[in-house]
Amino acid sequence: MPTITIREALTKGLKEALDKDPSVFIMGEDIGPYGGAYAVTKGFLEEYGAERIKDTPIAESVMVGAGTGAAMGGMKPVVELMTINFGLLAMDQIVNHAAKIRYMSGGQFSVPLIIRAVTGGGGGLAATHSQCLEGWFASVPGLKVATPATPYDALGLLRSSFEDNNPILFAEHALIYGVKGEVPEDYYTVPFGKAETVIEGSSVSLIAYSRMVHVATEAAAELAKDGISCEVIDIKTLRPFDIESVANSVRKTNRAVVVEEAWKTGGFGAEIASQIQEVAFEDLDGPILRICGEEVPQPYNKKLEAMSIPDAAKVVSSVKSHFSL
Amino acid sequence: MASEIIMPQMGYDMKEGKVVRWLKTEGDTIERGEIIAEIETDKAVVEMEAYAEGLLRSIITKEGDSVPVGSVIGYIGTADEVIPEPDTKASSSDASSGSDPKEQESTPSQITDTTTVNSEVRASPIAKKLAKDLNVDLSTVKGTGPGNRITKEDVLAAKDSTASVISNQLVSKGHDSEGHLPVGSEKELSKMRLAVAKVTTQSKQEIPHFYVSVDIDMTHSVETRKQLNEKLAGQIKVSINDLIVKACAQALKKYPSFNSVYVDGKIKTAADINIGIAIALEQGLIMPAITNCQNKSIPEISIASKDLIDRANQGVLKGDEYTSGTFSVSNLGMFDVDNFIAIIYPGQSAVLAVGTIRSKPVVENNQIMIRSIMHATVSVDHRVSDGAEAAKFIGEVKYYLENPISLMLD
Amino acid sequence: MAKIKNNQSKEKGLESYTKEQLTIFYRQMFQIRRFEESAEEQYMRGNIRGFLHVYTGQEAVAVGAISALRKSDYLVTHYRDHGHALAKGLASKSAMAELFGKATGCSKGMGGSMHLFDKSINLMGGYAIVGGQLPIATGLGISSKELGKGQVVMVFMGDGALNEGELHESLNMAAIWNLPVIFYLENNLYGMGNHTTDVFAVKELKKVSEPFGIPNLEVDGMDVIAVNQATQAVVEKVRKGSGPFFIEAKTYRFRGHSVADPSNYRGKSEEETWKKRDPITSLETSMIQSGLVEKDEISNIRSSVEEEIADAVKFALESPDPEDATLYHNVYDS
Repeated sequence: MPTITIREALTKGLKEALDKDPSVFIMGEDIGPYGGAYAVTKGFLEEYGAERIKDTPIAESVMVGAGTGAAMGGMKPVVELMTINFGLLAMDQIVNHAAKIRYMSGGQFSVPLIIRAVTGGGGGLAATHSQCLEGWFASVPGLKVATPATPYDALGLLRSSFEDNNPILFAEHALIYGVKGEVPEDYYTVPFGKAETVIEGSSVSLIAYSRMVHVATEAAAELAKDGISCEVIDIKTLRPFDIESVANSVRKTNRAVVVEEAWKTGGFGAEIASQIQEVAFEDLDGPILRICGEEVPQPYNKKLEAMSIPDAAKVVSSVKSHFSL
Repeated sequence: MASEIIMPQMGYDMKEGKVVRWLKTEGDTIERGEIIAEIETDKAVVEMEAYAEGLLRSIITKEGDSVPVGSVIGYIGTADEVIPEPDTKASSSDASSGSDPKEQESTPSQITDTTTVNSEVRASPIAKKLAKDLNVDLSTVKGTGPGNRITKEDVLAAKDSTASVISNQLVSKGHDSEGHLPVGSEKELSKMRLAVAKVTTQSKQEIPHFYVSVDIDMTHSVETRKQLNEKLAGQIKVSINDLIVKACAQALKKYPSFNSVYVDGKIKTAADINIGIAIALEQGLIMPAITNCQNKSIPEISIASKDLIDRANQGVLKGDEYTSGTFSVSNLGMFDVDNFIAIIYPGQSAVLAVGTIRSKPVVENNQIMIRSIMHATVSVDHRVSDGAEAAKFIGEVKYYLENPISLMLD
Repeated sequence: MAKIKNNQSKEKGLESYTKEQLTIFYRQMFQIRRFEESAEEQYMRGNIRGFLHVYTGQEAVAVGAISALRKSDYLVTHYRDHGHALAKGLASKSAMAELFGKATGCSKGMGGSMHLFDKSINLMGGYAIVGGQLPIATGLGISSKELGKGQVVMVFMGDGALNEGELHESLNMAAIWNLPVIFYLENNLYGMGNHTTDVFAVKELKKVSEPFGIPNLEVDGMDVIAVNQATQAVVEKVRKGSGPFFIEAKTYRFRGHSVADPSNYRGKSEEETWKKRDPITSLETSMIQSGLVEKDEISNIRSSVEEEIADAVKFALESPDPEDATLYHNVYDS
């Protein structure tokens, strides 16, 4: 099985869609000659031409809105917001329009739109460029939110997104584009709303998405050295969210830990924790632990920045002290 | 502020209690949940746990003295706390008046550093669920989680030491700093036997027993039980003993002398009919009671009985369930016993002993018939009643069991 | 910059239309008028909820502009959308039932007055966030162009939307990609209660398109013939691939911003002045004066409209609410 990076997996998935479906086109800031700020669309312009690889003005609202309109007009647009932070300039189009047109039109119009956005901090970009806002979008009915952690899931979820007729926010963490993993040659998809047990364990469930899956995995390895068996659950998509798989894990381990890069207040981890206690309260052997980004705008300084984001060491110490393990 | 040690209420009808023995002396360190004294109620001697930790600062009620339920019998506190005078009858709120002003200024959090009052059990949701499923009494479990929260592991560990929990509830024993003893130790068993010895000796020494026996034709009861169980379709399984308990309850309504106790020249008749059923555990015999039998139907008695037996086997009966009986039934039917006589449980005035139901030839209308016969003997406190009344009483029991349809009428 | 003159005399304009075309204009404008009057009445009776923004007074714009479109052309509009929807061909029953929130409404009772959609006539929706419809129209321009179906996109905005960034983003994108989008400004002088002169730095609002190189023209929005003539010419150019166009129709709403608005911010005399230019009365007078129609014919049209609107109200009243289960329908396309 070939081993590729998340970046390569996304490139593969986008090319596949462009090859297969003439109604697919990509638009975004600097996706053309520049090749995309994160190089996912490098070489696309030469291969597919300017009609299908549309470099847009720096105007996020019309970028997303035009994606919505083109989708209503029968196309399958992929809009690349350079970062999720810029998505705030398109909030009206994403939340007020793309998410609601199907419902408000009584089901007459669908919006098969993929909005790709780079998320996450830790890259020395300071507060405005280091946010994890996917949880905000996940609170909106009508939107779907994908947050892959591996090349396999990045490709599988992207393929599912192309097969889906709904507006999808596809959040790609900036620091894991280079993460490698095995991806089969044969066509496969990864469904929305299905979590995966990345590591099986018996004492603690570590629930995470995107980059924090890797942090949780590293922490699980550390905790295993001390005889604490952790199960790592990658939820993969925030909306739909697979509470059942998460709850099943918690029913087994009786201890739930949500590891999340976003801020604690109102973060998606709060939703995870809330749903766990709703369905598995009696299975808990202690309060649900949330390990989140610090409640600060992310600082530029490297040391302070690192302090603001959960890492394996923090997960290990928090788990031990919280559960007296 | 120091924590009061209160004379506990250990049965619904307990009004006062006697301090039989303090297991701690003033100045001893007390763990929360530790047994600190033996208290004698009207019916039994029970152990008393500390609900606070610290030092036993003051013993107010001396051994052998009785005080009303709710009275302060001692104080637990820190070494330098001012403790009310031993003869102070005031409640805790009054107790601090006139004490060192510094103490009054101190904040609750400073006090809880050394003296923690356990107002409620802190246990995780799964621990609570497990405790319920496994019949583990969380108040007897020491929490090892954060903030002494009882965790799943704590409940599982407690389940393993069920036997010691049972003995904690029934048997007086010397102080044990861990609060429980290893399972199945010789010491453990001898204490249980010691308790049985104490109770039976007291009974035989104090209560002038006499006995009345009858053969009861259980043919109809056996048939009725069968029909009842068919009707209940497996939801409840009624036993012969349940019918016997019901028959006794009916008879006791008519003859309340056997639902009473002799105390200092007076006969006190109980308001409710609570029938103790003898349950043989590995560690010894216990007599927990099915309460309010006068208001219970046969299926209700059956449910209550099964619950008591289950929880007795798991060692999670509550203290007052051991002591609230007003009459008892001892049934050795399952042991293939023809007949036996039982010793009256202190605090009661009678006990019915029944043996195995056997098919026996009986002469009826000059014909020999095969009937299901059970031998029954009632033991009675002669200070309360005498042979004639006892004969009527057991005759009533016999009537109900031979005409079980009449048990359904109530 | 293209110039489409708007200086033809009314009589000259009339001459280039058949009687049938003119009576259709008349009927459509009167249908909108009566629909809105009925809607207001039903709102007062409590049969219509939420906001109700009526189009009364502006009928010439919707009818004149939209009748220049084909059925397959895309129409995108804003929250004051009843007139546009009816002019595009939405059945008055379907529209009224939607205002009533009924299952038989064009949006199945999920959108209401401000969100009228009808896929069968490419009515792409009323959008109630000011300016929000503009990027979507731009995107429809992309799909129209890329899929090569020759559809023109017409998107309406009020003067209030002109200050939204989304307009400027949309004009720019439409211009650089040469999209077939007609940006149609209905300047009725007030964004809610704000007069245009208080909130715009430029006096001529159509000039907003000029920095993007988008041609524009101004049209008398109280004259259905003028609107239609100008729009037809623009639609033809845009369909041929000339790129986006910007039209400003000067018009006036005879009623408040919504039913709740008593229009205290403007004088009665201003209202009376504009009402003298009522587009329906104007067309009627022209048609009769030019001898195209008899008074009877006008009466017949009016009574047929009255009947239609009464039927629409009856239909809406008698229609069922959506089923409970529809609460959860169409959140996603599954």
